[in-house]
Amino acid sequence: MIVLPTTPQLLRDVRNELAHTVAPEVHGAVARVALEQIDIILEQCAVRSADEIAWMVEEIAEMLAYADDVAAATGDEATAAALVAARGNAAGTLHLDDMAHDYTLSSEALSCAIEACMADPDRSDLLRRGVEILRLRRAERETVVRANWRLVGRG
Amino acid sequence: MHEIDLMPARLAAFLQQHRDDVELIEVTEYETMAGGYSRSMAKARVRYTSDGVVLEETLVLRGDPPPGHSMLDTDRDHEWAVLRSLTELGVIPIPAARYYDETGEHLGTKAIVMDHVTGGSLQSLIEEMSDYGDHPTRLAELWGQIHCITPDQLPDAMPRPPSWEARIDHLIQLWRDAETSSVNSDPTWRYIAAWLAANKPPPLPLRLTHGDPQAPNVMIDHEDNYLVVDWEFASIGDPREDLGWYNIYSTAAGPNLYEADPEAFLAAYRAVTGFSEVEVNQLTVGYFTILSSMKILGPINAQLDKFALGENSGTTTALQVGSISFGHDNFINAINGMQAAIDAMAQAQGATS
Repeated sequence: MIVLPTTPQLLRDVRNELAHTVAPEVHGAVARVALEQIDIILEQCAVRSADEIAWMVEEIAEMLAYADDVAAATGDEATAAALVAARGNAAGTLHLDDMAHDYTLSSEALSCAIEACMADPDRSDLLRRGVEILRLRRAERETVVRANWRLVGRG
Repeated sequence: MHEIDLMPARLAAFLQQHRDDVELIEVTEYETMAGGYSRSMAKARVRYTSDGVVLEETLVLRGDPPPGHSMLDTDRDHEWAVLRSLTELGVIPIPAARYYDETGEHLGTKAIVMDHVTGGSLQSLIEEMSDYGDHPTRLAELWGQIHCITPDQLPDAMPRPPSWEARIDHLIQLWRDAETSSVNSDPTWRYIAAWLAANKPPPLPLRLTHGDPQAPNVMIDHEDNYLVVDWEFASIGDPREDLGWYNIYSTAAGPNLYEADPEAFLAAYRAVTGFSEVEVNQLTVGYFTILSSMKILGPINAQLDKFALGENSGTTTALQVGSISFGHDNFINAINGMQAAIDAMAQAQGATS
């Protein structure tokens, strides 16, 4: 497998070609909007392809560890069941489809754990930890992946 | 609408059916329009000839996109009923809705034919401005005008929530349902739903809501009048749903005329609606900024799910991954801020009692 140039490098080269070779020849308003949207999506794909497998591996471990702590502290049945499902049904490979599947299962465990903490006023510290996973891990990485995103073509 | 070459003849024949007082109708120009995100939009130049007298005008067509290329699905029948009702009421300034191809047999897709507004949108105007002048006040008053329309003035076909509580619970349930039905598991949405259920604001009377109030949906005619378009999401709900959606949308695609001076904006809005400061303030707008978003993010997410399943495509749809993640980021931070404000108020109340 030829790994260099990397996928992000190839995608950004396509962006460059579209911007400097194709775009100047495109004059219709609808097509120009589509080109601008394509440019944004290509950059988002470049960012994702560089890191998404590593990020999912990290986040799955973090989500399951958090859900373990919540299940131990609260005895919440939904969280415990989601943990069993996440571990029992995990595909366990680094292939993208498998990672997405495992990430979804782990996300369900995180959801259940946060809901259990919301329902229990004595678990505010654990709730804060869960919300920080949403805010500082997921949302911040999603912000990186949004890249140059904007709602082009409106109004 | 999607077979551009056929449209001049199709549209002329359709218009002729509605105008038997005109001898000859010709469509001399027809072009698709950029800017209609959820619907296909087109502009047509039409020439009417009768007894040697020739008149021309421009009309706008608004129809469903081709199957499998929709960013979100909405109901043209519903939009047409709302437009007809608002045209009869004559209270809200809108471009006149003329005709409706309710089956799509004439125009190739269900499509509404309406007046063309010669000016641009409020969005295109304020994007170029450094000083917004009286536009924030005018916009607040415009939203207020819409929210003065009571359910008894609206078509019977529009669903009436049995109560304010039921409406809010329905909107919270939209968050849960969207997450449950999605191909993605979304802990942020689940947390948001739980937080919204635990922190409901004071109630307001149910009124007409536009559903997608944003500067691109406000046109400005050549006499500087505001005209509200895109009524596909109109419903009967809490008026603050619109204030909240305006706020989040304009944060994503600014400028945000509410954020420029929230207190002045809300004062202008309250003056038109008569709502109190307890009911309409920055905190309650913050709550509805989150709550109401699912009315549009839900349908958008459903199309992204179809995309993931290979049932939908298109760059406009693909771009909406950013809309979902933009919501995550903003809503989580907004809840953090609002929870801090609620905790501070509770602490202050505890100290005085």
